[in-house]
Amino acid sequence: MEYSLTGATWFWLLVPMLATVVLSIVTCKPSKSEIVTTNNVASNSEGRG
Amino acid sequence: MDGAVLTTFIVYLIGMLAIGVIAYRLTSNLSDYVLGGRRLGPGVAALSAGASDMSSWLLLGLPGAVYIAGGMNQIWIAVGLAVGAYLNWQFVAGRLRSYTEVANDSITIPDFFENRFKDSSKLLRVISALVILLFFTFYTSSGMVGGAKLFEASFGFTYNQALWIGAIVIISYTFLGGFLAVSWTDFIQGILMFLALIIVPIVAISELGGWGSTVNTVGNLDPAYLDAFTGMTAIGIISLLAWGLGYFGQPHIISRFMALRSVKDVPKARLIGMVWMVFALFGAIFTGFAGISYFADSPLPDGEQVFILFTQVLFNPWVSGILLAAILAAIMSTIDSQLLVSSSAVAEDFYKAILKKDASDKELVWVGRISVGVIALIAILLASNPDSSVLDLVSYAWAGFGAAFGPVIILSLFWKRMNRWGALAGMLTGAITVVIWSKLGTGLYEIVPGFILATIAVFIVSLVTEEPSQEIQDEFEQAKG
Repeated sequence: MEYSLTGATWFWLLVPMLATVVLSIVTCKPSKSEIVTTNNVASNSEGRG
Repeated sequence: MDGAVLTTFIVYLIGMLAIGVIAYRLTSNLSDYVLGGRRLGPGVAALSAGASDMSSWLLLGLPGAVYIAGGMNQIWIAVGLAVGAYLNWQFVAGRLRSYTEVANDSITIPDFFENRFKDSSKLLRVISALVILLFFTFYTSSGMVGGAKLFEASFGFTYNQALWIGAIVIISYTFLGGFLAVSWTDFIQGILMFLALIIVPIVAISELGGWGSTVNTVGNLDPAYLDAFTGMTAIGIISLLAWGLGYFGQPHIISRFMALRSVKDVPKARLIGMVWMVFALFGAIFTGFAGISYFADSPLPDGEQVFILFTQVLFNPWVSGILLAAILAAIMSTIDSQLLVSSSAVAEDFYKAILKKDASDKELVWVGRISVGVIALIAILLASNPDSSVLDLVSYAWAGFGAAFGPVIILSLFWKRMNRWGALAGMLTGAITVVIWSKLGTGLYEIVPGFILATIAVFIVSLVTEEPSQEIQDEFEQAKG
């Protein structure tokens, strides 16, 4: 007989834990305001140079 | 003992000592010694937090639980821990890093409580430092017992030889290099633990003929091993998931947040920390699960040895030595962090705050170093009798810290109206509830009532006592950024 983990087991094993990784990836990107600030700083620096 | 395994161990231990000597040269004041001068990068902070958190439980306890107690119904604690750790990184890390700097550059948790609430009575500082000192001395001692027993069984040392060898190495690098040495060694130890927990289950499952074959063997033994709910009650699942609540109050873990170079490093550290933790937990679960199949014909007398036996039967002695060093790494990385937090409680929260307010930086670093030695010696003495009932205290240390400090830390970061009376009430309610509840034998993990009642106590007591001063409220706004 072929066995496999039950669907509920796969769900609870994978979804919550991998969700924490996915959320960490999503929130790791700098926000738009940070990008704008960085760009402004960069262009200001170029201006001064 | 195999020469290759012994050589690997000696190289590993010398490496840890070398890090202690290098960090010694970079440590000049107490902030350097207990917090690394707040200059940890995201990678070191993340892996150091993970390695300090996970003791030998990750390599021995969790695989053993899956092997002994029935397969996949042991996943709940891993789920609870991963979610708790994520929420801690998401909500506590950045705010705590910023608030501890705003609040008079606090370098310990008791220091933060006193500065956050402008508590001139020193009540908050002293009580929280006492809780840290008491629980961590026993916690450290229990870790030493675990390590000594493990190496007594694995390498033929006597119990006392194993106890002293491990203790001397840990004390040496913690004594010399303080937080930087502990963080760097934790970083290396974290990598070692991670690699071991990825390699062992992959090799074991491929030896068994792949995932399908492994599952079939386990299912043939008992199909219940394949289901996360079999043999579990709702209270059992809630209790295991609730371990995640403990993260918000563990001083040796959240001190890594305070030591980050910048708040901007939090997202990257969170990502590194969560990838490390989630895949290490998967590795531990699948190691135990593969063990059910691999050792089906000759069940192990001690299920917690499943990881050790895999390293011995699947790998050559050189690789086996490195993988076994990961267990020592897991034990050492937790003990060193707890020793350091305890020594900072003595140096910063008792010596500097109460005994000698004008103590020089050099003097404080040496008080910290001597405290490491003294606390470690007490822990060794306690550990010299591995059957001492006093070591039972650690069974609720995780819950104790989680319930006593967790709600107080979270609310102190996010609720402006909270005052020092609320903090004191929350801390005492959480600690007392955990101690009493653990004696009741309800089956519900004591952190659940402890955390809930402590949160309620903070709210009620803060609201019925005076509002925080304008200075405290201004500081709160400043920390919000």
